[in-house]
Amino acid sequence: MFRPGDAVMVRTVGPNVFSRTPRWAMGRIGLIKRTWGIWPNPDLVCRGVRDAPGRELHHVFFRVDRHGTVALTADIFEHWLSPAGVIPPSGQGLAQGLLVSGEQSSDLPHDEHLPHDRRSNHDVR
Amino acid sequence: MMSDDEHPSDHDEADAHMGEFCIVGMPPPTAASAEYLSAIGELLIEKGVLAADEIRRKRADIRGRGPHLGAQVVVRAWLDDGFRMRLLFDATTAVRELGIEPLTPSQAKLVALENTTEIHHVVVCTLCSCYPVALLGPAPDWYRSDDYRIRVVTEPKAVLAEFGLRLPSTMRISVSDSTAECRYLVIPRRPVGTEDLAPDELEALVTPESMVGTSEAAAVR
Repeated sequence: MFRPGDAVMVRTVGPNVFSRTPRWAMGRIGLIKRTWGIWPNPDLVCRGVRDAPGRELHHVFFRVDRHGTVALTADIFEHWLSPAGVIPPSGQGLAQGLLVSGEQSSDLPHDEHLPHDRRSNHDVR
Repeated sequence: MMSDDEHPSDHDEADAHMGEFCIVGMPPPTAASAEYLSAIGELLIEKGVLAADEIRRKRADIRGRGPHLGAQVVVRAWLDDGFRMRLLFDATTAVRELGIEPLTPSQAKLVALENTTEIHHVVVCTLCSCYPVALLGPAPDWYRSDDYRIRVVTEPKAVLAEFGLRLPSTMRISVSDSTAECRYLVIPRRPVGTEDLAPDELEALVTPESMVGTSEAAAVR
């Protein structure tokens, strides 16, 4: 459903609901950086459901300071995410800070693993 | 390397005083919690969820794990660029080249994060204490503490400074919250002046903290 580079918002739930989605991430907009494949849905596993259906797990990046020098990442299951639309021009720094920089090269062996279309879009802007 | 060494060790002898069950790497249980743990263990065996032998083997496996394994991985990445690439692309597979198997095959995903001159990675589990046990052994107390888990996501620079790590203001910091199936290993930067060191001398510089990102690899004396 989601692809690396997609902007997503993390769902929020009430304080009495247990989830492995961290509270600090709820309500925040982040960018999907990598996708880790399909894993059993922990929200069912924790309730004792055997053979819980798999959900896609995404590595999501959140910028937490104005200058983009501090970022948080968390692995969040797809059903906790909703599309956050196109990143507005004011979010350009966010996208650039997270996708087009040494960050990617530190995480992936080769640049060709970057989503090329997105990289060139940012280069154009 | 990951032998199921079941010869009695000092740890095993210590455990004998706590009853059959204990949590490896945790402080000795109180009498009440030991009783509770034994009851859970016996129930798991009685219900056929686990065999006593499985528990014993798993404990032996965890005891064989420790930061010496992580240090081997880091040093190999420093010395062998091809390995470094494979490690960054798929650490779960790459560490098998060194004979390191995951502790639990179903939760086997390992991710390596490489520190560079531009970005510094630090790892936390804000939910509990998820840690790359297969490579570093049981998590240290500070990693499990509420203080670290709460503060490193809200004021990472201050927390790192308390660990004695002062990063340049231009250095980007990425805090990875280990919330699901992935366990993160930080690859610290290779200290300067280590070109002539042998692999085992390099491994001595790779502290557990440097593989979580709360310090850098030790400097050469």
